[in-house]
Amino acid sequence: MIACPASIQVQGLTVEAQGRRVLEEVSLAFDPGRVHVLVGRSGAGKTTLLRAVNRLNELYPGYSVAGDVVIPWSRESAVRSVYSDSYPVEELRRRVGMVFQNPNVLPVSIRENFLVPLRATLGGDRESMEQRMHQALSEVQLLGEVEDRLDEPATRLSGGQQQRLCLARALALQPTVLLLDEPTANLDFRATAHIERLIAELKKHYILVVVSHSLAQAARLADRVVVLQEGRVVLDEDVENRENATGLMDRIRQLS
Amino acid sequence: MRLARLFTVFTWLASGLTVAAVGLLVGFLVLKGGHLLRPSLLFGDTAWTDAVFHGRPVFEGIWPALVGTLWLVFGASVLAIPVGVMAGIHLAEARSGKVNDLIRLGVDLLAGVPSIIMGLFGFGLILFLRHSLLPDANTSLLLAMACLALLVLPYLVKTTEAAMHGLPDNIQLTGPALGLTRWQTLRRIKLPAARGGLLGGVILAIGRIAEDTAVILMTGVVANIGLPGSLTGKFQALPFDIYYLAAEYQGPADLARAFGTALVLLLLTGSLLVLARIVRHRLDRQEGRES
Repeated sequence: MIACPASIQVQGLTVEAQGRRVLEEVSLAFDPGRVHVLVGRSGAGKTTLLRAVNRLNELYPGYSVAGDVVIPWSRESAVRSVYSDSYPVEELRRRVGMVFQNPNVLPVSIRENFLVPLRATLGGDRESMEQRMHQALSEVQLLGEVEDRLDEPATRLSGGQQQRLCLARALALQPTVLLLDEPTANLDFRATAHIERLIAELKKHYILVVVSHSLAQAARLADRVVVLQEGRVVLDEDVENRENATGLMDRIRQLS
Repeated sequence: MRLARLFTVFTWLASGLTVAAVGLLVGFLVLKGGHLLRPSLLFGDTAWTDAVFHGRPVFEGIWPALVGTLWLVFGASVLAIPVGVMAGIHLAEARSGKVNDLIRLGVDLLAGVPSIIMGLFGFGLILFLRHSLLPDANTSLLLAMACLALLVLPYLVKTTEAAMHGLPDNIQLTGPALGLTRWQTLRRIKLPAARGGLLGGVILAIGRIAEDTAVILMTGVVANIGLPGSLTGKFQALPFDIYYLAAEYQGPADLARAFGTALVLLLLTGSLLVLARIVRHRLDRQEGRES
């Protein structure tokens, strides 16, 4: 798989929710091949920033947006604004995969967790859908664990497996961007380590933006750290190597 | 500390009281009418095969009332469930606005209408129709179905809305995040996830239809007419039979039949509840939730 051709550009993004300013003049770039970790206190606007990329904020009443977010539309074509009216918002959301804090598997079989969105968004024949499912499952290293029980309820999987299933389900739609909103907040340390290994692997093929609740995790994962404070970017810095990461985290700790 | 202990004792007492009340009620009914739970309660002296398969008239039996009640349940459900569930989905999906606030107010008002008023409305409607468009209009099975449908409509709307609204944020966002349209999200994710709640509302409504007396009292129920002949004819129903038997009994046998009939009605609504539980349990098992 070829890497993404371009970066995500967040340009002067201001988001208001019910009259309250959640993000203020945020400008950032998220580059291919790197893990971007967003940190900050709760209420700092991390999730809102993430959801501005796939326009999930709009599902709630009273959101208004100024500024722009531009994403690489596919691996071949050029960039596009996510707020453009020239395509349906659903198409954008297929190109921007998202994983939530709580694994949101559907209460159906593992297989149906893939087939429901694939059927709804792409149609296509059963065989190519199955192929995408297998591909995605192996990408998240879950295939071996579930291959012989694809028709069992997805809710029977462990928390970590469920989260990897959610990741795979997003990957099956072949996105260019992956947004992970505290993907390990509810997992034990082994499942967390597994997800973190995956993130490091997946960054070769997708633009990765991860919201994290822990600076330690940011230190382990990030190629670039963005700190949000009350809706503003107060730090946006590259991590040169793992050794200076800890120093950087100490500086971030002093910010707040 | 002592207050806490007192509180605990009191909650236990209150719970025990509820169970005792139910036990007392059922026990009383069983004691008074239990020995009547035989085919003759339903069919009197008529052979049950003749009554069920050949429509032979039944005297001294509550078979016609049972069939009448089943018809009421069927008809009112057909009228109310689609409308109620759709309206509930609309309210759950729609963003708040003036029109939807108005709809909610309407539903609340409808929920507050006592059933006797609903019956009176049906009766008034017939009077109006007789003086205007349909001089031959009369209270009937169809009218009773319509009024009962109106009676349970708000329950359906509210339980549906609550079931859809009660879905965790997680489920609400799953569809959109995967690029599903609003309709696909509703059809593929939200409705399947909320079906247990929807079903609960439906069963509640059915039980309410089966037990209501005031509405049918004003809209065409009678004591002795046999099986309902047509939608525009009069009909018998279990709750009214109970009332009639208990109010006008000629001897201890009649009164005992009233208790027997009450037991049958209780069994009917009770088995509906059990059915709802079974269906829900099976749905949950299918979904692999731990119960």
